[in-house]
Formats: sequence, C-alpha cells, structure tokens
Amino acid sequence: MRMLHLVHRSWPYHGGAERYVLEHALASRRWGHQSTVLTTDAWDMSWMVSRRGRHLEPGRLVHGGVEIIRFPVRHPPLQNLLRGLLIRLAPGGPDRYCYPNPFLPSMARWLRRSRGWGFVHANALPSLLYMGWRHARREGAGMAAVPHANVGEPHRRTQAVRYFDGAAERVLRDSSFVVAQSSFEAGIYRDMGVPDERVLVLGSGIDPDELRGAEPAPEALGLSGEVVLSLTAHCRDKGSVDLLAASRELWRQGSGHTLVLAGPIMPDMEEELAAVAGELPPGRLVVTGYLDREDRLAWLASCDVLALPSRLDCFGIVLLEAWALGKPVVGCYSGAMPDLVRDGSRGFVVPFGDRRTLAHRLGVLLRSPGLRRGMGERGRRMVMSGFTWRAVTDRFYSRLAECGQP
Amino acid sequence: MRPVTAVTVLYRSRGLLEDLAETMRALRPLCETILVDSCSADGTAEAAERAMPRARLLRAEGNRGFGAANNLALREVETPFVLLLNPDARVGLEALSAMLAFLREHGETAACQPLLRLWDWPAAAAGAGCSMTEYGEGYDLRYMHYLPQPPQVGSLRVPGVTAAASLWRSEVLAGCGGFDPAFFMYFEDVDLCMRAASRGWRFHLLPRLEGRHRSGATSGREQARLWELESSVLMARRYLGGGRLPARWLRRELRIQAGMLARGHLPLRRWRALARTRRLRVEPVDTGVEHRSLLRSRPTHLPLPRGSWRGPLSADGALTAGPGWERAGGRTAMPGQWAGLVLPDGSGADVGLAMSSRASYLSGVYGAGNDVLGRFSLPRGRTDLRLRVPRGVRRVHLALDGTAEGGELRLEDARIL
Repeated sequence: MRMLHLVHRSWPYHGGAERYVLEHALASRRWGHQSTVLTTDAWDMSWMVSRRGRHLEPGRLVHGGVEIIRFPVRHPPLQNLLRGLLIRLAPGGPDRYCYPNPFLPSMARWLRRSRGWGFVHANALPSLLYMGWRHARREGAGMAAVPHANVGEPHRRTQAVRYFDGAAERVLRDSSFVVAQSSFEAGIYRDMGVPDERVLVLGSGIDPDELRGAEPAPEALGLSGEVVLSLTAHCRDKGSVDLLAASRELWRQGSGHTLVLAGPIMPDMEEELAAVAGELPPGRLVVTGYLDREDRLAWLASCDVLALPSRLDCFGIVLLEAWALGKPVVGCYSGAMPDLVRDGSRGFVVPFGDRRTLAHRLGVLLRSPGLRRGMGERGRRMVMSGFTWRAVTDRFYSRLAECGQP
Repeated sequence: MRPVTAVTVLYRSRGLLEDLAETMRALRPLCETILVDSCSADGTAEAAERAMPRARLLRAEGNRGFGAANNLALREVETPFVLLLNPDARVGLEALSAMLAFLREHGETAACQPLLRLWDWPAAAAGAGCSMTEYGEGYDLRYMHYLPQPPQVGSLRVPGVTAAASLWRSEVLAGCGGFDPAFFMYFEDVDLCMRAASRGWRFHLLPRLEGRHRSGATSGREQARLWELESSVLMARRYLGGGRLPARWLRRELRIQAGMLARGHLPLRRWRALARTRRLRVEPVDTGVEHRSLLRSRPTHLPLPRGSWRGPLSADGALTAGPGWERAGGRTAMPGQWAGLVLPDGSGADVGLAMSSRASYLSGVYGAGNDVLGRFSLPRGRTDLRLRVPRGVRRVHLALDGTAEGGELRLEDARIL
C-alpha cells in the first residue's frame, strides 16, 4: 500500500514528532508499504508564520528509501490579518474549515493532483491534519490522525480541549483511528466523541543501537561537578524559566552542579536569560543551542540528571533516551510524564511552575548517587521492555492492518 | 607485495614535503608510494625525489588538475587498495591498518576514511565524509566543527569520502574510470563517490580513527572560489539538471552576480569561468532512488563557519588569529562555533579578550589541543574574559557550546595581560 505521511518538519531536523513520523515512514517498508513524507521547508517554527527563522531548501530527497518532499512555506503580505479574515469569513463555518497555518499552497496543489494513496498518516499541525483528512476523504483512503497535542496538565483540561478548535475535532472523529501519546491525551479524544476503539495509545520510542557505546565525557565538554541537563526547545511553558530559578536556589544553597540548557532558546527564555545573566555564578550555566543527533548523545551521556519540567511535551522522547543511558529524570504532571516516570520510581514528577519543589527534588538527586543509579536503572529496564521504535511502529502497523480500509 | 599504494599529487608543495616524507615513512610497512608532480615550477619534483627516494615519481606534462594527475598514478597501481592522500594530510599506520581491515571485512564498501582533524587545531574537525548540496557543491561533513570527542560508533555510512585521505578498492576506481578530468579542482571526489554509489557501492567514515589535514594549504581562496564554481556547474548539470543547469542554480547565480554588480564589481572572472564550462559536454547521470539518498541536505541558512582571516588580533601584534575569525569593515568576528588564538611563545600568560554579543547568553570553553583549560560565559553586551594559558601552550581555541544564535560574536579588544 502507498502511504502518505504529513508532518510540519522532517529529516534532517531531529525533534520528537519529526522523529516519530520518520520512524513510521521507515518502518512501513518492513510491513510491505511504500511511504512518502510531505513536509515544509521550515527549520525554525517561527518560519511557519513569519519570515523570521531558518529554513531549508524546498525539494525532494530520499532518506533510507523514503521519499521526502519539502514544500515552501509562503508568507503573503498581511498574513496574520488574512488568517483572521479566513477564520471568520470562510464558507462552512469553523466546523468545516481549517485556516491555513502555515500557508502551503504548493502542498495543497500537489495533494489535489496526486492519486493512488491507500492511507494517510497526518501529524501535528491542525492544518496538516485537515489537509490529510480532505485528501483521504477524496481518495477513499484510510487515515490515522496523530495530533501530538501539547495538551498541558490534567487540571487544565479546558485549555487542553481548546487546542482542537474548528475542524480539528471533526477530523479526529472521522479518522480511521487517532493516535494518542498518553492516557490523558486519549481521554480527551474520547470526550470529544472519538469512539474508544478508535483511540490508540502508542507513545514514542528510541533506537537502542544509536545509544550503544555512549560514554560520559564531561572533561571533553569542560564540565565539572554534577550536571543537570535540560534538552528541549527552551521557553517558559517548557519549564526552563522554573528550572533556571530552581538551579539558582540550589547554587545559593552551595550546590556545585552545572545546569546545561541544550536545544534552541525561544524569545521568552532569551529575555529571562538576558535579565539574570549577570547574577549567575560563572561557568555554571551552559547554553548549547540546537544540537544534532551525535552531539545530543555526548551531552546526554555526560549528565547526572535530566530535567524536563514542561507542560508542553505530549510525550518526551528525551526521557526515554536518558533512561536508556541509566539517568534519572525530573518531569512535570503533564502529558505522558506522570505515567512514564511514576513519581519516586524512575525519577520525580513536580507540578508545573512549582520552583521550590523542583529545587528540592533536584537537590535530593544531586546529593544521592545511589538514588540516581537506582532510578536510572528502573527507567532503563522499562524502556528496553517496550519503548523501542521497532515495538512502537509494530503496534501502529498492527493497528493499521486491523482497521483496513474505512 | 604490500597491499596498498599511496597516491599523492604534488603541485608547488615543497613546504609540505618534510611532513609528507615522515607520513610515508610511517606507512611504509603497508604502502607503496606513487607521487605525481603536476609540473611544479618550483623544484617540487626534485625535492620530492630527495625526500622520498623509495617513492615512484611520475611527472605530468602540464598542470591538468587534481583528478587528471591522480588518474596518471591510478593507471600504474597494481595493489588491491589505494590510499588517496593529499600532501597536506596525514594518516598513521594504525589508522591505515584499521581501514584496510574494515574494507576487507565489508565487501560492499568502496572506500572509507578516518575522522580528519585540522592539523594544528585537533579539537576541530576538518572532515567526516563528504556530500553535495542541492546546488551541486561538494562539502566536507562536520568541517570546522568543534569536536573534541568523536562520535561513539565504529563506522558511519556517509554519502562520500574525501580524496584528501581515504582508502579505496582499486577495482572501484578502475571500474569508474578514475576521476573525471573535466574537474580541474574541488568536488571531483564527490563526483567519483556518486558515480561509484550509483553502481551500488557504499562509503564509510570510521570516526574512531583519526587523521590530520591542513585546510586550504594548496590554493588561495579567491582562485578556489572560481574552481568551485566550475565544478559545481559540472555537478549540477550531471546530477541535478539532466545535462543542463537547473533553474534553481541559475536563479542563485543571477542573485550573486546582481549583488556583485550592485557593489560595483564586474563579475568578469565568473563569466569567464562559466564560459569555460559551457564548452564541456556533460552526460547526465541517472541518479535513481537510492542514488538520490546521497544528497544529504545541509540547512543552507544555518551559519557556515568558514572564517579564514589570520591577521594580528591584538594591537601590538603579539596575538595572532588562528582559523575561525572573519574581518570585515574593521570588525573582527567569530562567525562559527570556534576560533583559534596563537600566542607569541609558550611561556605561559593571561590573555584578556573583550567580546561582545547580541545573544542573550552564550557559554563555551577555551582549551589547547583536546584539553579544556576553562569555561567562560558571555551575557549580552560586552564581557571581559581572562584566559589563563599555562606554560608550553602556544595555540588556544575558544569554542562555544553551541552556535552563536541571535547574532555574531565580536572581538572588541585582545591583549596579553
């Protein structure tokens, strides 16, 4: 069967949803399918809605036998105003129409002309889910909707549901099945009217071979003392501001740890860093910017604790990577983290924004090498038992085989 | 009979012969050596005969380019493996023997290369395989990246390997007809790899093995740009445009030439270079699906650290710039991830640097060789750094933990304290 995967960014960009889609596209060959990935030319998310940010060359390439087609994001003049008008004036009302965000006219043209796809696997952005759904309906193809929804914390359920404005709700209800990354996310889809049997709680995975042979090398990176690593796109909602505040509290108490903020820094976090930069102890904060896959591994292997106190991550593949290397994690009551971490077992979970608790849990872990080892080992066993890409993609394609053509 | 023949092309390389002779002496247990002199007028051939009396020296009739000179030697090769080695590169016996074992064990691999590091700055990579951009330009993967620790894997499949230091199967080189002599210099190795890959061969980087390479020792940057332009025309016509230049390539060239004209420069040399390539007949290569996977995309709008200015850094001239600095309009900047400083002697000193950055916060290390000497942090604005350089160290590098997102890093002042 010919499968179409839609995602906002793809290889060589290395992010959670991007990796998820690529792994599914690569695994399709194992199940006798042929995959094509449609994506945009954006490298930074800001390129989706403005001319700011980096981007790649549009075009076609083949990676691992999977064809990847990058379509250019267009930035018409007054695009924000245009979007606002489209939302209000487009025929059919909000339940029928999804405003194009980002503008991808060439992808829409390509989809109109293209025929012969048996299944559409649409991911992440509501507009891509919508384009995939329209194409699947026209072609009579099956469709898996994977919103990778950053659904926030359970007690902010109202905000989580608001994520699915407009046509997204209808897209989910009409899909052959909907993939959720956590039981919390799955609950929201059920409440939105997606039948229970059409919700698949899948999660994400890692490739253990990629992590094999990774050895800590703090000297080569110039690190000293214990290392707390946060590997994400840093912004307020990802908990980076809280993590920095918690670290400053620990430094005030005499802790000698180094905080590593690895990954791109978003504008709100830049402001925070600029505001406090002069007050930080020298050499204790490391800011790396975007890391490619090989560099990620060096930093992950060299850390003592991985922190992701974020309410934006629907899953958090980096937690699995840390566990696979035997590192404990500190997460947040959000997305899949409470299920994965189980407070006190494979790490700690703290409420989002609770800096004092975060500082306390980090302090406990930094002072106790034995506790770190135990939590890391429990995490490693869990990852190896069912959170590899092979296991995850096999679950997806088994489900796809069961549902057949809608 | 030794299993490997080392092939080295010389052109005005007298200054490099001493190091090359030392490299070849070390490789002697496994290697025969063939040197090709591309008609150097400075006595390179005679000096090479004296420095390496056991090597076989071939004299080309004229300077027909790197690929054509290599082809002369490849015709004479009788061993099953060929080590392509530039005179400004070095590979040790241990690395060569590991590469040989790898090729013997992996029958599908056409060639492999070690992780190449910059000759005097081993914390930075000079190449980890090579690839081609979507404009037909070859480039070294990880070129000028700060890489104190190599990737923790035995071998990595890469789109191609560099001709500066790589071990090849002779049968592959013979089967492909060697290098394409239409390329005078640059990207001919990428072209060769793509042709070999289209026949099903693979290429591997062995990151745990290391070699050294002096970047840009063979040509000046201005001339190199024109050779790169000519080579990219050939590559784009052959692999991307079905024998003709693709529209995207032409659009970019028009933009470049319009920019030059707007700055008051007539792009006469570019026109001449393009005219030369028009005369060449280029047969398109059908890339096929697997072949296209060679095109490893490089994010074209990411900063590409290719700083090349190497003048005095301090007002008194005591500190000199190593690689990684750029100087324009009286400003000295570090556009990439790292840059080097050269001290006048190894007597130990404190170096004061005033750096300014528009990024909210940058952090990094300074070090010598592969050792980290200390850490620094750079909040937004101007920061005075004090680097403590111990006795015995002349070359110090500054390396950011990441790239300078949000603006370049400028050097306002440098002095020995």
